[in-house]
Amino acid sequence: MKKRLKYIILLVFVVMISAVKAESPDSLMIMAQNAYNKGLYDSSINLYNKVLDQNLESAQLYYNLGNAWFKKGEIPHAILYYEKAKKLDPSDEDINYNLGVANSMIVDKIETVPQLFFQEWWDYFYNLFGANRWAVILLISWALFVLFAGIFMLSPGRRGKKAGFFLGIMFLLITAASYGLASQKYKHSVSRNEAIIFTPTITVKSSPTQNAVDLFVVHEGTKVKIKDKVDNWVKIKISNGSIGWVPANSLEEI
Amino acid sequence: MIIVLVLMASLTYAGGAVNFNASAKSIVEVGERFQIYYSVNADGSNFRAPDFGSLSVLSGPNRSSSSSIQFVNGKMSQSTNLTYTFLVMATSEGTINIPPATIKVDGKLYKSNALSIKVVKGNVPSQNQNRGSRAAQSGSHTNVSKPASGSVKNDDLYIKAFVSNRNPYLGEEVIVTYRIYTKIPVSDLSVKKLSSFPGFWTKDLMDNNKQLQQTTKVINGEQYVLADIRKMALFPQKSGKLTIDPMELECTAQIQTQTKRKRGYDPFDDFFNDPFFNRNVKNVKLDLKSNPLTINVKELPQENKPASFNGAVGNFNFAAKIDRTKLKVNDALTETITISGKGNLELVEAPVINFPTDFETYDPKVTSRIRTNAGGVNGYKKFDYLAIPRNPGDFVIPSVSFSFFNPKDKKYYTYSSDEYNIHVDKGEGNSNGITYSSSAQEDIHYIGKDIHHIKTGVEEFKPVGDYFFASNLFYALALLPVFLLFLIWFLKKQHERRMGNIDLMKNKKATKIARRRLQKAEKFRKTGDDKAFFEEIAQALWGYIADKFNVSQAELSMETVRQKLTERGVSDEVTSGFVKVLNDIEFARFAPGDTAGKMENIYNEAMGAILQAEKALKH
Repeated sequence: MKKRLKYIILLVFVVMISAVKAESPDSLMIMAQNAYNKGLYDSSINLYNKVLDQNLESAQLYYNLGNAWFKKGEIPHAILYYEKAKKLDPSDEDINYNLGVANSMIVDKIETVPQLFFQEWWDYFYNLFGANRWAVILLISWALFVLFAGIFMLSPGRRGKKAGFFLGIMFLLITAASYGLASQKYKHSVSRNEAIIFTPTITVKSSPTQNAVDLFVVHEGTKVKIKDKVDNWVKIKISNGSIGWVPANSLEEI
Repeated sequence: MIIVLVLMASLTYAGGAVNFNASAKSIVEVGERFQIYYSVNADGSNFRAPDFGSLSVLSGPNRSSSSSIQFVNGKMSQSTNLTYTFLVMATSEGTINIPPATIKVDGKLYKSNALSIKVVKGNVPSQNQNRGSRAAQSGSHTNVSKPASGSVKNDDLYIKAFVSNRNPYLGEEVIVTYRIYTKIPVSDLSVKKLSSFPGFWTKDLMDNNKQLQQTTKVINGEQYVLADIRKMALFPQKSGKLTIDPMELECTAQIQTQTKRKRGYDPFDDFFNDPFFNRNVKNVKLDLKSNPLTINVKELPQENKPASFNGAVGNFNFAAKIDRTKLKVNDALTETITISGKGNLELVEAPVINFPTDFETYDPKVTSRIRTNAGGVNGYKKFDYLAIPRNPGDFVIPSVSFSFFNPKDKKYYTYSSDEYNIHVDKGEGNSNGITYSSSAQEDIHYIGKDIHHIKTGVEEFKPVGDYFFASNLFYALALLPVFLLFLIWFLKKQHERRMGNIDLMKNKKATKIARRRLQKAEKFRKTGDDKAFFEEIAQALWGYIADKFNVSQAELSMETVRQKLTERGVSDEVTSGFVKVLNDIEFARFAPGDTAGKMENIYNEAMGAILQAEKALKH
């Protein structure tokens, strides 16, 4: 009898804990949005972070979180989350617009190296969809290729074979291209090789030691590429191509 | 070409003998103004004046030039004369040596002659009655104590500059006064050099009253006449230490000379010695210089500085009114803002009213009335904002703020106008007057910039780091179509095989079916149903061939039968027999006569033909 009571109490506890813990991400999102609309950006950020703590993510979550940070005036945080959102949904209009606004408010204006036209085209397609969308496109075109290959193989008539051949080749090319894009996007999404500078002003050094030569200065909010890591130092490359080392705690990976 | 060369040569010849002369009076009196001329008979540049020593330059160099071209006996000669003139004044006795001036002609440096000028004491004192009366006198005799001797001492006559506040705030009004103190009569006051006020915006406070106001004051036991000769309101435009250069004045002081008359017993002597008659007055030109001033301008306090603060410093009043709040489209409304008070009013800019974007607005009309008096600058400034609504609707004209800093109590003050709700009705009913043209369309006005709003609703989440690409599901889905293709291919093969088997079965069954048909025919023969008999026999034979060689019934003919059988290596004998039986059957079917015997015969022939064919095909 006593043992049973103990179990019941334990069960109640478990239920309670799970009730607290399992605040559903959907309701958290709604609460965070309400807080944002009322101008309570801090609590909005807290609620969004709770969703992140459940190891969940979505482009919307990162975008809204970026907005809340932006409204708080923390531009580097805003840029970090906008970039994260962009990784998941690179063609979203709102994300790109707000990222542009946030980027216009940071100190560093780094000219990007001009690109060749085919690079621009590639980038255009590259930024059209996220890794998952590209993967779906890849599967569809692959299935179509197989279909037409089947028609080519099994069709008794000449006309059917011809159509099957050319359409099959076409979808094979689409498959190859979308495989390239999907795999690159996937690698980019997984690798976390970009970061945002969080220290207001940081001097970039020539080597990973404190007494190395000062090369140039970057400011908070600037996006950098991570090239290497040694102890507590990170080798960065800024978008104009300059390379140097900064302490790892001065930036936050996207 | 030659002519040009000749011309050039003659020109250079004419310019060759450069004469650079300095000339001036050689003897002048103290206080006399005279000219010094430097003339050169060529077109020179880079004239450098010498040091004039104790002579004070009143004006110059004034450049004048003349040139003439002469033709004499077909020869041209050109002469240029360039003169630099200085107006100078002798200030002290002695001999002044003026070193040569230099000038560049055609790149060559020429020197003038040096000058030597003797300055002597004025030996002809001018009479006060002749000259002084013309000038406005700033001092009167009764107010001036008699000077001790014929010269002027420093404290007889001086100018002093006062400033009302040495530590003003940026933009705060400061009044600078230049006051002359004199014990002797002074006339011909003229400004030689005005103070410059770098870093200040200035306003002359004495423009209106040209007549100098005189007062008397006793300083150190001596009676002085004072007059404010200049009064300015200064508004500092930058912070820090600002210096005002001294002001320099020139005036004619009248000094009474004590003529030493012979002391005798002339009864008139005493009478004429009386100061009243003894009015031998000498005019002396004097330079006066005020003291320089330094003003330390303080920065305005940063704390509590209102956003609408725009540099107004002083003490102001603010009033805003609007002439109407209900109107029709294309009617005008006017909002009036009046700023009045004391301070740097002229620097007050029109406050910006953010009219709704559908309103056509104009730059405000500014009317200002600024009075200057000894106390400073005051007055009012009125801004009329004209706005014309172009579309009907309800609009809000936001409130306008005006801030100023009051240096008296060191505080910022902000006044705000009301917010006006404007109702705009549609214009007069007839739309005839309104023309719609594309030029009347407007671009969208952007008023502000902000980030886009958050995305509402809830999108689907996915676990962090979870990607569809390269997942097991992805590979499975990638392999699925390939698998399906193979499945289809396999099924098709299977089907084909099965289809092939049916033919085989048919082949195998052909003899059986033929036998069965023959048996059936036998039955019909016994009952005497000859029609059905022939039918069955024909079917047995044709069916046999069709099943055996997998030929459709439609394709069957005598020819195909012969062809198929020969193809399979059946001997001609057997083939002909088979065909013969078929022919016989056809013949017997339609030929009348004894059918019973025929039936018996044909049955046996057909049986034999099938058996023979079967035997032949087995090989």
